[in-house]
Order: sequence, then structure tokens, then C-alpha cells
Amino acid sequence: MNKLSALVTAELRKVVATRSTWLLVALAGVCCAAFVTLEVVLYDVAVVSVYSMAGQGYVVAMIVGILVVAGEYRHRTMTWAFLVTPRRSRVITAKLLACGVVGLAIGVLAAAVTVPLALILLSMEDGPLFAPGVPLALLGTIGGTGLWCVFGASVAALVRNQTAAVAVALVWTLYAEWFLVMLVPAVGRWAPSGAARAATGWTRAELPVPGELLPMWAGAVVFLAYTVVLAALARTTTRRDVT
Amino acid sequence: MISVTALSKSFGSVRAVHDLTFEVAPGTVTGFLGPNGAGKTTTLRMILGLVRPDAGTALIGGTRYTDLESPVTKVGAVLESTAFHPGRTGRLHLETLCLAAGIPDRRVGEVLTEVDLLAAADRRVGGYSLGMRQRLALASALLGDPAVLVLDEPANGLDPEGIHWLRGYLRAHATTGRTVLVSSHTLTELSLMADDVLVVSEGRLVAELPAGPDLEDEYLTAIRSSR
Ligand SMILES: Nc1ncnc2c1ncn2[C@@H]1O[C@H](COP(=O)(O)OP(=O)(O)O)[C@@H](O)[C@H]1O
Ligand SMILES: [Mg+2]
Repeated sequence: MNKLSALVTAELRKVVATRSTWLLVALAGVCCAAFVTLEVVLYDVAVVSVYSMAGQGYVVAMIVGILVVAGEYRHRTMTWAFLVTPRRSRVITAKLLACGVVGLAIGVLAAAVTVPLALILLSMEDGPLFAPGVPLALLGTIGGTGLWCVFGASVAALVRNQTAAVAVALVWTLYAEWFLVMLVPAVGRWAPSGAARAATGWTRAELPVPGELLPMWAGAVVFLAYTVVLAALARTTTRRDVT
Repeated sequence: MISVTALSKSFGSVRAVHDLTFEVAPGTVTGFLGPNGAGKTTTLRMILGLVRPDAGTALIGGTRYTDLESPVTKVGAVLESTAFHPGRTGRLHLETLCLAAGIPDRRVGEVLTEVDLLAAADRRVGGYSLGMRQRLALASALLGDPAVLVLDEPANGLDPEGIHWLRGYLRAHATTGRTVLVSSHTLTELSLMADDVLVVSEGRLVAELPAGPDLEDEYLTAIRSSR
């Protein structure tokens, strides 16, 4: 039986060698820079919320995860993986683990863009530069970004079709779910996006509709649970014929 | 040795393979001949554990592909519609296969030389011709130095020189006591390449013929009488 660590390394080599990965990573940095600027300029928000914009690479991380899995079906390269490793759940496990690593890397990079920019922007305002909750919030953004990548990969393993997976994931997380978070927070805070956002330390103080997200730790636990369930489902969907 | 016993597979109402039984002996090149839609690809994919049979078994040396320890070191497969990521180089494709399968990296250079693809190894596969992809597929199959080769229409896209080379390669491979099963819908190709030819039509085995000058007549007779 080939080692799982070798399968994960092989996946990582493929991700690193793919050009679209790097375009998306750059996009994650741009997203974070844009959101942290908007957060400071448009709203009068808590310092922790400003730093929590380091989590705004999550959409990109999710798409990278989708491409890692759905791309293999799209290009029919999954066949090679299944020939090497006939126990298909292992192939999926390796991909999900690789996505965890990639997602964490995107999270670290996003934080590396966000923190200096936040310091610069906040120093131009009157308020404080820093708050005790910031390190934990950054930990939440990095861990959350890692999970989003696994989340995306799991969605792709279930949907298989790349375009459909990207469309479903984007519409659901950016629109459907975000409406819930914004307008029906009692429900939205339990949805993946709401929980994941809570884990970044962001608060919805500036929103017109009152209501709280889950506490940070609870958000982290709930989003982790969503990801684990989805990943477990993804591992069971590999019985179909590969023709 | 490959043994297929009472293998059947339907896709919805289409009976792709129906109660198919045959054996492929080591030391020979065995052709798998039949018109388009005869069930060749489905059979080969069942042998390789990619398609789940409705009934019957397909064993390689007495073991199902999916139960083989380190399968790519025992069976090499060139499949009809496998493809490559267009953005990755041929070398990266082979290196990641080696990594995943626990095969030493030096095999990459060896198989690239064997299939004469070394010069293009560092180019993106998106720019490869069909023949070059076919060579890369064969290189992938050879990585684990397997004793059994299963090839689905491997001559598709190869130029005459490539086909000549493939024929010689498979011959030499079989002569060292290895097992080769190669499908084609083209009779002349197999009559030059194979020792024995299994003829399938509509998912059933209709004849087992020795390759040779009479193959065409015997093939036509077998196909017609099966209808
Ligand atoms: N995934 C599939 N879904 C539905 N029908 C299929 C599928 N794969 C093969 N078939 C059908 O099964 C039959 C045998 O196909 P195939 O094994 O590809 O034949 P060959 O390789 O000999 O041309 C054909 O009628 C084909 O249309
Ligand atoms: Mg075919």
C-alpha cells in the first residue's frame, strides 16, 4: 500500500505546478487588501474586525480546493490516480489533506498581506492600532482559510463537474448564505459562512439588522463540523464507474 | 496471466459486455478485436477495476486489480480516453505518478527514453500531438516495469513509424514472457501485432483466431455467423 504522505506530496506538487493556482493565490491577496481597506474607510469598526479581513481569501481558497478535485475529473486524470491507488477513498483523502495544506498556506499569505496594510490604515485614523483579540482572530482566519479549501474540495468530489461545483459553491456561499447571515442572523449564524465568519473574530456591529454571530470558538467548531461531515461524504462518493 | 470469467456489464438498457470468458496467456501478444461499441473498452476497464462488473470476475494472476499490492508495478495500462492535464509537463505527470506509486524517480528518464519522448518531456502536454500523448500514456504504463500490459487502441494517433515501433515494442515485451492484451477495431493492425486474436461483437466473444493472412476472412465469417 502506497503511503498516504507520498500521495499528499504528489498532490501538492501538482497544485504548485499549476499556473491557475498562482493566479488565484494572487487574487486572494488582492481580496484581502481590498476588504481591509473598505473595512477601515467605510465603517467605524472594531480593530479585531479590521484584522479579520485576513480571512477574505476564503472564496479563493474554496475555488482552489474545487479545482484540485474537479480539475482531475474534467481532464480525466482521475483515472491515473485510481490506477495507482484502487482504494479510491484514499485518493480523495490525500487530495483533501493536500487542500488543507494549500488552504493554510493561502491563509498565512493573506494574513501577511492584511496585517501590514491594517497597521498602515489604522495609523492614519485616530483609534488604536491593535487589540488583544487580534492574534486569535488571525489564527481563526488562517485556520478558516485552510478549512475552506478542504470544504471546496469536498464539494467538488460530490458534484464532480467543475463548472457546476464552482457555480454552486459561489452562489451558495456568496449570495444565498450571506443573505441569511445579513438578514436572518438567527439562521445565518449557523450556516457555514456565518460560522466561518464568526471564527475570524469579525463582528456585525455595523450591519443594519441586529443580531450576533456565534461566539468565535463556537463558530470555529461549527465550521469544522461542516467541513468534516462534507469531507466524510466526499470519501464515500467514489464507487461510480470511471468510463 | 489475465482470466476473465462470465463478465457482464450493462449501462442502463445497453448490454456492453455479456457473459464474456477468456484467458490471456503470458509470452504472447493477444489482440482484442471488435467493431466500435463491441464492449472492448468496458472489458478492459473492468479488468483494471475502473468499472464495476454486474457479474463475473476479471483476475490478474488470480487476483482482482483492486486487490493487487502496488498494482502499477504489476499491470501497465494505456487507456483509450485517459488524458493529461494540459498545463502540466509530461515529466511532471510521470514524476507525480512515481511519487504516488512509490516507484524510484530514475524510472521517469528511463521510460521517456524508451518511448522516445525525452525531448518533449519538459513541455506542457497541452502542446503535444495525439501521437505524443499516446507515447506519454505508454510511458506511464511502463513506469512500474509491469509483467502485464493492457492497451486500449494504443495505435490511435500514432504515425506509421510509431505504429511500427509499438509493434516491435510489444513483441519484444511478450518475448520476455510477459502478458500483453491489446485492443483495436482495426483488423490489419492486429494481424501484424498479435499472436492470437479474441474477436468480440455486441459484448460477446465470437471467436479466438490465430493472427495471420487468413485473419480477415475468418473474422468476417465469425462476425456474420454470430448475428
Ligand atoms: N459510460 C457509459 N454509459 C453508457 N453507455 C456506455 C458507457 N460506456 C460504454 N457504453 C456503451 O457500451 C457499449 C460498449 O462500449 P465500449 O466498451 O466503449 O465499446 P468499444 O470499446 O468496443 O468500442 C457501447 O454501446 C457504448 O455506447
Ligand atoms: Mg473502445
